[in-house]
Amino acid sequence: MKKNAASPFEDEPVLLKALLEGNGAAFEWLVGRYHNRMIVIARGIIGDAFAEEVVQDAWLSTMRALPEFAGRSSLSTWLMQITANGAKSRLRREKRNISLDEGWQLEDDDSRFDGRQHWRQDISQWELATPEAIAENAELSAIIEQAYAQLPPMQQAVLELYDLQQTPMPEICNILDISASNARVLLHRARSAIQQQIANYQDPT
Amino acid sequence: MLSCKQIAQQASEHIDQQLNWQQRLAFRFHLFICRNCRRYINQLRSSIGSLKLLRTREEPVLTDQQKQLAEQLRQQARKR
Repeated sequence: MKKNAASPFEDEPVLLKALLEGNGAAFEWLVGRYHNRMIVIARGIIGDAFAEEVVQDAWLSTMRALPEFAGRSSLSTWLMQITANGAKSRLRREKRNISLDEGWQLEDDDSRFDGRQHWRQDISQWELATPEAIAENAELSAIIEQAYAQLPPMQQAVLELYDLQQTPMPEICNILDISASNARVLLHRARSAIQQQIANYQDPT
Repeated sequence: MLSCKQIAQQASEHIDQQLNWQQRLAFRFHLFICRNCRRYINQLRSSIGSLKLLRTREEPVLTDQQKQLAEQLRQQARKR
């Protein structure tokens, strides 16, 4: 990871033009920006085994369609949609060979609470309380990255889309083929998991 | 009266402003009297905020495989 100096490719029309001109730096920027995000979406839908392959295919089909794309939606939306569609059709084909973790709907015993549904332990005031202070701390940043990487695939996909890509909820439900209430539960679990890891670091008692 | 556990469960909906006015009122009332839940909500907000901040601050460095992919895509797009 390196610090990000604002790239001219942040501007989508500039990026599209450079891509159509065959600018190598633009393609590298595109892959750097979106590849891992596409993997997250594919993994959420189809699991680890086929995610890379699905994303490869999605890249190739988007590149074929690039001249006709011409900014009809945002590039990000378009890439995520094509990735998700690819993952879903692959899922239909491979159904027998894939075992997805479907256990995420269950679970309600939360050990953080006592029998009266109060916090078992007091929540302490974080010393590094603001996002800026947290992100400044290198150790904590690594912990957050790791917590994100270890989220179950569906939780990671919802968190990625909602919090990191600001995708509207209805669109997320459509991309991942889940109900709004499931998406909400997954989002909250993902966020809680991150909060929990930061809390463990800041208040290790 | 909402319990702390219910507050924790609805925390994301509160943060994303998905609660209706009655729920919001009950939620605020609980926060008013419960320091633990106030802290939890703040922590959750900061957690989301820091994750976003990390993402916007850092640009991934491409692996060799991803560089190859970028080149492959460039060739592919050129064929058109």
